[in-house]
Amino acid sequence: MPRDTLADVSDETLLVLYANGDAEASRLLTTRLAPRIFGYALRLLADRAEAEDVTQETMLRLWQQAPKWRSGEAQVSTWAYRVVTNLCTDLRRARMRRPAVTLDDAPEVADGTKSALARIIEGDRMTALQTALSQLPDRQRQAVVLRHIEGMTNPQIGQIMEIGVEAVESLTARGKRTLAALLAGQQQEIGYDGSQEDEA
Amino acid sequence: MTQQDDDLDDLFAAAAVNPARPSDALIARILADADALLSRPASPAPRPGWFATLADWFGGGMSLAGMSAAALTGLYLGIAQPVPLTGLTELVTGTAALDSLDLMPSNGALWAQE
Repeated sequence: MPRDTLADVSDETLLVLYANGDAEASRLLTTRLAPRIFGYALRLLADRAEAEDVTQETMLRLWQQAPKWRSGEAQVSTWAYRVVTNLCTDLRRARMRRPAVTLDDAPEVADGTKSALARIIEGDRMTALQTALSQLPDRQRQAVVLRHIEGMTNPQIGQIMEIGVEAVESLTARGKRTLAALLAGQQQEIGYDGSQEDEA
Repeated sequence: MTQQDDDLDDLFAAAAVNPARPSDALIARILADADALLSRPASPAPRPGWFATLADWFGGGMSLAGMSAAALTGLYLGIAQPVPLTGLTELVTGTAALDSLDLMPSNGALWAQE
């Protein structure tokens, strides 16, 4: 089907079209989804190569899921974010179990500011934010990124993380508090005030 | 709302408008995966088992179940030979002595008691 005709079609319809053999539908779906889930994976992992692997694996699972996709059960994007969340959690757990055995690994662990992420996100503020995000517990980081950077609603986040809305609110609130405390120590470098005197 | 919250929200907003872009190589790999799955021939349907084949011959599983039940009932009747059926069996097979088969019992006994 021509690309112009598909522009207004929903993600779910594109997936069904792909399952029926429409290669153009997969191109459009990739254009829509891949940048979003790659950005999300990069925020969670702070490693470009791993984020690319997670993105590719998520999209591969989507293509495999296409013929079995059950209409109306979940949005395609919500499903994809859930897969990314789970893959990133598994990767981070594996990373914690894996000792740094090569010389290449050591500097990255020792100095987060020289990670691959630092080369792709310009500016000290973004680097500082990413460094602080990386220090949050997994679930808090996922909730904060989905809420405040991906711009999702609490019910959407609840579907992705498979928890209730109240749990989402709790995770984002605790995550923001921890982030604020972490960033307060870097206020000089990033222009972050961090004071709590101006209560509204 | 505190100054701290405002600063944090500014950082989030800046992060949201500057998303990292996936490389062209990654997009190419994703599309290659999609194309490979599309071009893969559909796997042949698994061969049905002997029971499914047998059931198909007789019009499905329910028919086969009915026929099995009828066959078992017949086998039981043949082995057990229940008394009420013995006379009928002898009649059908021609071994019955017709003069001893009382198809219309007499009511003479009733009159005799009066």
